[in-house]
Amino acid sequence: MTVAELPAAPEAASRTRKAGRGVMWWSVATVAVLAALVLIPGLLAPADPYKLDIINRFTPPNAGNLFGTDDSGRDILSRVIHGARYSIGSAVLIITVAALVGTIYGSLAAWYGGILDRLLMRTVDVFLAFPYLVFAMAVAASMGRGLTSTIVALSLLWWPSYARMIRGQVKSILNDYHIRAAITLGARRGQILRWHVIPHTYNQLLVRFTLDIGNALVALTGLAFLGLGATPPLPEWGRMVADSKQFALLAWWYAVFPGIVIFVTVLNFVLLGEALRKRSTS
Amino acid sequence: MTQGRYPEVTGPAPGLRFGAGRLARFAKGVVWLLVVVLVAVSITFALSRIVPADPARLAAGLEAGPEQVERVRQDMGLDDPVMVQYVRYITGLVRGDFGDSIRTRGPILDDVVEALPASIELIVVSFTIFAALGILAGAAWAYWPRGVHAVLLRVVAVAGSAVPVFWVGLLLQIFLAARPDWFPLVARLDFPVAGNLNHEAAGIAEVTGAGLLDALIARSPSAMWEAARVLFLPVMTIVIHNIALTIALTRSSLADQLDREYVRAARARGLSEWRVVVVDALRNALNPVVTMLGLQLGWLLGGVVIVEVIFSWPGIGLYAFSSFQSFDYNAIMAITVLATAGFVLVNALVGQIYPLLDPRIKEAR
Repeated sequence: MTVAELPAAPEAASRTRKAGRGVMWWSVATVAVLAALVLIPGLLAPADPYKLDIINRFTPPNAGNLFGTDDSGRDILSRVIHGARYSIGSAVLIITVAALVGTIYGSLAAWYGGILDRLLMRTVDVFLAFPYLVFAMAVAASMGRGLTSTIVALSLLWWPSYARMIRGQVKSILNDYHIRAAITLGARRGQILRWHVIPHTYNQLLVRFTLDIGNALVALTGLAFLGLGATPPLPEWGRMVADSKQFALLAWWYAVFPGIVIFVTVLNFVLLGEALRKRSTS
Repeated sequence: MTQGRYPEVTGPAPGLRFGAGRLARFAKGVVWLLVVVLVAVSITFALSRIVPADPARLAAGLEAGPEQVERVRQDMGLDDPVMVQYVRYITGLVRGDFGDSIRTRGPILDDVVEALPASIELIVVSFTIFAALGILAGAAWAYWPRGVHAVLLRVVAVAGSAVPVFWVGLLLQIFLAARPDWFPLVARLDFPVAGNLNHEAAGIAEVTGAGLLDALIARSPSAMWEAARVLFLPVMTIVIHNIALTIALTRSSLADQLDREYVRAARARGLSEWRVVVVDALRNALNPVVTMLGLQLGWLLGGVVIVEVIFSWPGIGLYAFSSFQSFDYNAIMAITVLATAGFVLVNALVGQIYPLLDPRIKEAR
């Protein structure tokens, strides 16, 4: 769901900037750790995430199993580490597809203008008018359950917001003098869009992209919680919280730790996005 | 969509005006609603044709033989060409017929009408609380930007929105609902009973289906207390998640207004702080907040699904979830259509609030 804007208190500018830089480095470091989890989970996880050990099920957190074990005796920490690939990877994939499609769509609408622009943007409005959760359920129900159909459903619902943002930006950039100069010099349309317009949207795109990875993660894990996502035994984070539900009173750590990991990850992408935004506007 | 950080008001762009009159605007809104719903219907209908499960098979039941399944298929009209089925579905919708549920075997509209009050109760109570508290807290933060409360509010504003709603619900259940003396019935994980107020146990008649309202009608304070207790955890889950954005946006919007010249001018003229800050500045600051709240209200229509599932709240969300679980595609389609219509309607209604806050908008029209 939506993530709040990080408001800057009107303190001394230098102090804010220093704090902002601290937040930025902190989140960059955390994102690096998360990237490591996505890329080389096998080297980092202390145990096999799929190995059943029924005798040791519901072991509370201890030195051997820092996050405890789940209902099948699997090490929750290892599952969380391996799950990063599915959870964060899917979120990145969703937003990448949405940003790509939205950028192309939005810049075409802005470039051609007129009736085509209106038509394209009306379509975007229609898509934005869908309640996403219900709609994702409809898509997932028809495509069958699984991570793939959830990724498709969320990408399908996410690109319109990019199309709208990029269209607005491209419209304003097209009024700049350097575009007129390029037209005067005889540059072709595709050339202008590709080399003289789109690069100017990268800054905002990066901010939005970072923030949206957090948002997509919330949406994705929320859908997984409803059973619309990764199927067992994949250690996807939302799925883990969903599985923990029926044992919640028996083994609090099962629900708590995967949830904390989701929370911290989302928080970091939000903080990083806000730090990037501040840097790009100041 | 939920992930927009800036309020995105869907609907006809302001540049497109067919006429100046109120009637023309109304007609335009209706046409827009119809277009959006038609697209939603078409997409869900197209999706329903690629459902992996065979609806006739599901409807006939597990024990049915091939010829029984075939008969059900004919009864349901699944043998007809797709276009015929599509037209039949649309004409059904126009008549208010959403088809029958495969799961409950009754008309879907009846199921929805029965589930609606519980959802509306949950949404209205949560929305009122987080909107009021959020604006209050955000305004206080903007007016007194320093201090312990500012740090606290900052944490709430950042963390509250990043925290996954299903996880909050689960944590509240683990750490609060485990005390049965505080929150009876509801949220007991080992107690698979519908979470809403049990009317019979509370000794009141079921008039509207919304517990609080029924207790109010029955003038039974004990039933009201009971209904409030039942509501507490689901409402808290929604509030924790949604209040963050309200606080943050109110704060930044009001802080921006308080920096303006007119505020200094008003103070210089000796107007009271109340008048300057609350009557003038806050009113101006609320415009973006109202936009955002309207969108959030729309999202809640879909967003309650998770909360209702966690707390077994017998509303539309739980109904949608159960339908999804049992591949009841008819019901899923109906709910998608209704939720989309509700979303567009809420956005249209929010558009009507602006002129109250900012008279210039009315004049511009």
